Amino acid sequence: MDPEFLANWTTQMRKGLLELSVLAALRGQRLYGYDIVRRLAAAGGLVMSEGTVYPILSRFKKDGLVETTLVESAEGPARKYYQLTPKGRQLLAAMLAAWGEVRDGIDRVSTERLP
Amino acid sequence: MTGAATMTEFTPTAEGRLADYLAQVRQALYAHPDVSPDEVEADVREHIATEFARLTRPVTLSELESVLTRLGPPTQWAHAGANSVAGPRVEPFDWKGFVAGVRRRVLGVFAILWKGPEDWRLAYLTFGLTLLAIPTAGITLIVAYFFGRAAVELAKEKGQPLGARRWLTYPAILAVGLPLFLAVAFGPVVPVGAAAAGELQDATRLERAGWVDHWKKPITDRERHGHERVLAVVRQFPGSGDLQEVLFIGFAIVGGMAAWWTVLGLIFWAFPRWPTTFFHPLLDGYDGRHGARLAAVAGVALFIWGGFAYRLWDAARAG
Repeated sequence: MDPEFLANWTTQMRKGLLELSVLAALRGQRLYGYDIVRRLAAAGGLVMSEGTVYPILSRFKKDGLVETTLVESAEGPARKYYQLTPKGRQLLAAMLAAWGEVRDGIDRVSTERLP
Repeated sequence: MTGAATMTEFTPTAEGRLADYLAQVRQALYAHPDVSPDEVEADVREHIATEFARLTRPVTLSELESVLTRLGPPTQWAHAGANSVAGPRVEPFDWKGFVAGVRRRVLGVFAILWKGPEDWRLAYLTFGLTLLAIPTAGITLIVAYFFGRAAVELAKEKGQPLGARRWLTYPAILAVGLPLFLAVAFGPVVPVGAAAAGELQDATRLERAGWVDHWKKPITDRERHGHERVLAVVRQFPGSGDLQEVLFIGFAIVGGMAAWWTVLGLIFWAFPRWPTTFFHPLLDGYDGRHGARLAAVAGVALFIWGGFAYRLWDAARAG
């Protein structure tokens, strides 16, 4: 097997899951952009190019999945915090369910043996 | 942009690099109407500002570069998740990709012109009008100059470095601003020199003709007296013939320039924003004190020149 294939596949898989990762990071809390990036980077390298997160956040905002609020920061000027909207929470639940199905499906096919 | 970004200071090279990077961000996202380049740029600025929040000195290029490397190339952002699992393949030449790329860039430029942020729209309009100056014999260059100045002022107002936009705006600004500056700074050289040379030519011709005009009619005593005095002044200069005439014209130009710069210095002192407005970027470091200094130095020079002129005039009368 071409070792490049695995690297490419891993990269593409992470990219494909990035939107889900961003929504999941925002579940139950509000975070500012930099914090989202740091969390995803720390969680097993869920994000390859950190900047990729920002266009996704912008698109989510335009689609009404997240909303932003400016909050005063003790370290300086106000920060822009992102949080899920009800529509975003619904989509996250649906995506997590779909992801769960995929994960379970892979688990099943990799463990089940034909009679 | 949040305020955090405005608190971060960069070295000039780092600032230039950041401006280029943000320009790449915008360029990469313009063809994607579902993403706001303004918002992404603000987020990226906030990201960088947060990275360096504890730094008490300007961010260097290498420090900035490490953050930009982690952020990744903006060209990849817009296509996240759309790439093939097999990754890039080496092919002879992808004509379709090339045409699509050109189309995307052209559409990107039109997107900027129609609905892009004002600062980039102005920059592209400036560049377009600058190019149009060639077939229109420079007519559109004046309009391009004003668009370019507007783009520069807008960037200044937003507290953003001009970055890559300078390549679009400065050709027009300099093409108009530099000749304008030279005309204002040294304009009197031509009329004063021409006036002195004309007077000298008239006086010499009339003297040779025996003080009669083109119609062989004698000129008035008053006119003759004036011309004789001019010729007598010229003969006070060292050397002879042509050299004396050149020195006389040069002396007149020096006096004219001293008087002009005194007036100019006073005007710029009274209206300190004019030089930086009209002659950006040539006089960016100017403030009102420079106008006062120019007026003072030129005034002293004019006073000394006046002293020499009086002595010459007096010696000519005695001679």
